[in-house]
Amino acid sequence: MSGQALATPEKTALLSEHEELMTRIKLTTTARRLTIGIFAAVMLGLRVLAGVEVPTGVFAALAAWFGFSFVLDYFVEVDRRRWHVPAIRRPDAWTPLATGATPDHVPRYAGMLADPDPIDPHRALENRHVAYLVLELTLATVVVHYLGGVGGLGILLYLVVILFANMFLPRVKGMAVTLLGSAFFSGLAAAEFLGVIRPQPFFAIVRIRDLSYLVTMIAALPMGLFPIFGYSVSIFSDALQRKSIQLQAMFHQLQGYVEELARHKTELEDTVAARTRDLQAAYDELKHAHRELQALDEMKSSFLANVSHELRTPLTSIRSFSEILLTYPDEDRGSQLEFIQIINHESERLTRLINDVLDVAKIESGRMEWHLAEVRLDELLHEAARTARPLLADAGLEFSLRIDSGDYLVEADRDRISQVLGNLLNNALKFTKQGEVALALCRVGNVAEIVVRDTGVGIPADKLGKIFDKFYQVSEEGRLDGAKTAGTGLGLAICKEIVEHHGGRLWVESELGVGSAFHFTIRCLAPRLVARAEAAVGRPDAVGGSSRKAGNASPVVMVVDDEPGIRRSLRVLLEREGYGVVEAGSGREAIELCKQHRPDLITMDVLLPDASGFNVLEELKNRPSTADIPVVMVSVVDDRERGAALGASGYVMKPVDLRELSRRVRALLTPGPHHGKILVVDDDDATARSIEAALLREGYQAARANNADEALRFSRRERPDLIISDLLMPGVSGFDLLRTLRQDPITREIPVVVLTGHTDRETRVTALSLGADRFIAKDEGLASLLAQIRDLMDMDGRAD
Amino acid sequence: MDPALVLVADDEPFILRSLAFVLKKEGFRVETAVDGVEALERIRASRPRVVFLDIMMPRMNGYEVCSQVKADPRLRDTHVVFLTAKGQQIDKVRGLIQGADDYITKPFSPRAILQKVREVVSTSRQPLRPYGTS
Repeated sequence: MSGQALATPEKTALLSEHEELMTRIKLTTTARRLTIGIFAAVMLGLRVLAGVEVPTGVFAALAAWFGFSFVLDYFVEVDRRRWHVPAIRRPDAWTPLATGATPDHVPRYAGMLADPDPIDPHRALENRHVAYLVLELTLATVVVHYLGGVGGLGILLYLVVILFANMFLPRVKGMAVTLLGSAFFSGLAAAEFLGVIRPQPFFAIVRIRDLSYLVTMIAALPMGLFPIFGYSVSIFSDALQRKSIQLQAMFHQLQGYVEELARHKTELEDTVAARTRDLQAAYDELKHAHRELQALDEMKSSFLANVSHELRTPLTSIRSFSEILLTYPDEDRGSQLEFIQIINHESERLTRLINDVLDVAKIESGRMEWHLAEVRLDELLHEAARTARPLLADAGLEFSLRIDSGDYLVEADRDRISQVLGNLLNNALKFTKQGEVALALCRVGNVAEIVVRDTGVGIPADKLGKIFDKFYQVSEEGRLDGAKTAGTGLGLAICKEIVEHHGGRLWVESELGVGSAFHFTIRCLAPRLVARAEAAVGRPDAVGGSSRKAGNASPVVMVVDDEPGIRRSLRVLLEREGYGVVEAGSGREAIELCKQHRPDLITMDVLLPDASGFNVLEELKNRPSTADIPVVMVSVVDDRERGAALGASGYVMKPVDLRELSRRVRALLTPGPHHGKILVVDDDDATARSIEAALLREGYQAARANNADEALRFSRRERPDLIISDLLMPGVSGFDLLRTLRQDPITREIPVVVLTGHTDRETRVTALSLGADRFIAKDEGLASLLAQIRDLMDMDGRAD
Repeated sequence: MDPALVLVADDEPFILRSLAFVLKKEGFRVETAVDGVEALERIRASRPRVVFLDIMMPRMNGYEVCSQVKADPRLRDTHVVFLTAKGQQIDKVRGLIQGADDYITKPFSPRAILQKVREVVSTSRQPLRPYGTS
């Protein structure tokens, strides 16, 4: 907008008008001088040749007039310069840059400047031109007054020339009265002089030339004064306009500043608000975590209290009766036997309780050992029925077993599922006085459902939700003989845990006084499961979470472990992560399978039945076809060094932290050049070089900067995924680099690892508070650095 | 003078059985109750000298039985001892606040019970006499 403030046609018109004016002015000057010359020549001729008496004053006046024409020229030129005429040629350049307005704000008022109305140097010049003419005519009239008819003749001649020279100038009409007055009376004076008319034909008193003088003066006064007045006003208003524009420029500049300040303020407020929100969120999270911990703590306390109570009760009986037996040795044999039976019974109860408590503790801490194997549920049910039938018959209860036809092959821990069945049947026995206990198995889709139904006391609706809680026992009224059936209050809680560990569900339906039905489900295996390892690779309808994208083969992980339970849990984990899984139960099998399906990664147990995992690792690494498959050792044996020496890519301790393992696997399997760009900032060449080399070995792209400035430039341009920086460097220090990086929105999010020889607490705290993500001492070694980098990059990956 | 009457209330039959056996053996009269409601009924009916109360009993817990006993002026000479399995400080305090006279922590020895009963009976012999003899 600024450059084209004046539309081109307008600009052209203005320019041509100006050119016209300048031509007229020049023409007028020339005509003036020509007229003076011709008139002087004529007068001289008349005087010398015709002997006419021309007064000498005429020649003096002509000389003065001639001189005056130069003065006029000078004024016009001065004016022209003063009004900065070149600006008219480039109106867009005529901007008040001198006011100090920054270019940013020019566009805001450049449009206003381009408005030709406020200041028009052209019009001003024209005004003055006309003013000069009127002034000249007036002076000329004075001359006529003194010179009489000769002067009139001269004026007449000049008027003709002037009119011709300024014919189309719009303002010439402003001089009309002056011109006409001058012309009329000058004409009369000239006619009188030439003898065409007799002197004083109209008025006896006033001579014609006097009248001419008077009228011209009267007419010239306003006609001359107005342009002169306009001239002064235009000078004044022009100065005002300049000031006003300067002020406007300043105003706009200030407005710009004010807006900028307001923007900064808003930004700041937003930042503060965001920080506050973050803080609030963090606080809420903490509060939530605190509450959860508190709840957990309460649960633990109440669990302890309950355990303590439940343990003390049978212990009290044992203690009491053993003491009685000791205190009253002469009791009759019958009573003694009874007491010993009670002691025995309560010991059993105590044992059961301790086992249950241990089960609960193991399940809850994830340390329960699950012996998963393929199990036929129908067989388990038959077994459970064999045990339960005589007990139920003793209690006078009917028993029925119904198994719908179907395939009930599941992967489960046989003993634990039997425990669940036994527990449910035992509960049914405990709470049923008469009627029937029914055990049924059916298949719903690919899920097997087992139901234990009784015609017992039932469970009040308000207690249904609680019966799976630990130590909860339904009102004792329903119980038959308390002593005989006392439970631990843990049975159903354990059952629920067991069923849920198998991926199933345990629930109860009950009606008070009618009976209860406990249901639980287990997912069935696909029928005719072939050798698991082979099935895993090519299985198109893989079960579990392995919904792989077709065509885009996901990486295959081989799990080598002799323990099926561990293989299974790793498989579930890895399949959930989207990997294909092949299982091998021994070192031999692992090597054989590697030949057939080259996995992308292997997790290797160390204690294998046929060989040490280390030997298998060694063999894999020695075979060219398998040497580059990354192997993660998974073991109870902590021998990382040996693993690393043999070429293991990772080492995970058992019991396996599944999150850690999945992170390891992901880091190793993410398609490369996976790790991204890392910038190493260090002025020490040797250090930087060794870090760079290590990074390249790990598959990262590495770049180097010798100082902080270089690092900043690089970071802004390339946005590396991570920066490793020294602290003490020539010029800008690592601290300042950190500060600058964290202030710049472009580099704010890049993780920075500070690597330094200065490990004192203050340095560490300063670096971390400036926004370093990790602080590593140089003497911690490369391995530690690389681990931290992996960790950071991984976090980044997760954030994606 | 009749031997003192002792009431034992606990939902654990074996505990009742052992305490009843020992107390009878030592010459006390014994009554038993398997829940709080039965305990309260028996206390009101037989006015035992000493009551052993389990805390967690069906129908009515030991605390409630105790406060009802202590609220009844006719039963003000009844000595209430809680049989508590928890042994937690809070339970002790609560038991005492509600007017229990004592408590014994499970697993207890029958000897401790006997001792407690003997203590009560011997210290209260004088004030008891007017009622017992008249």
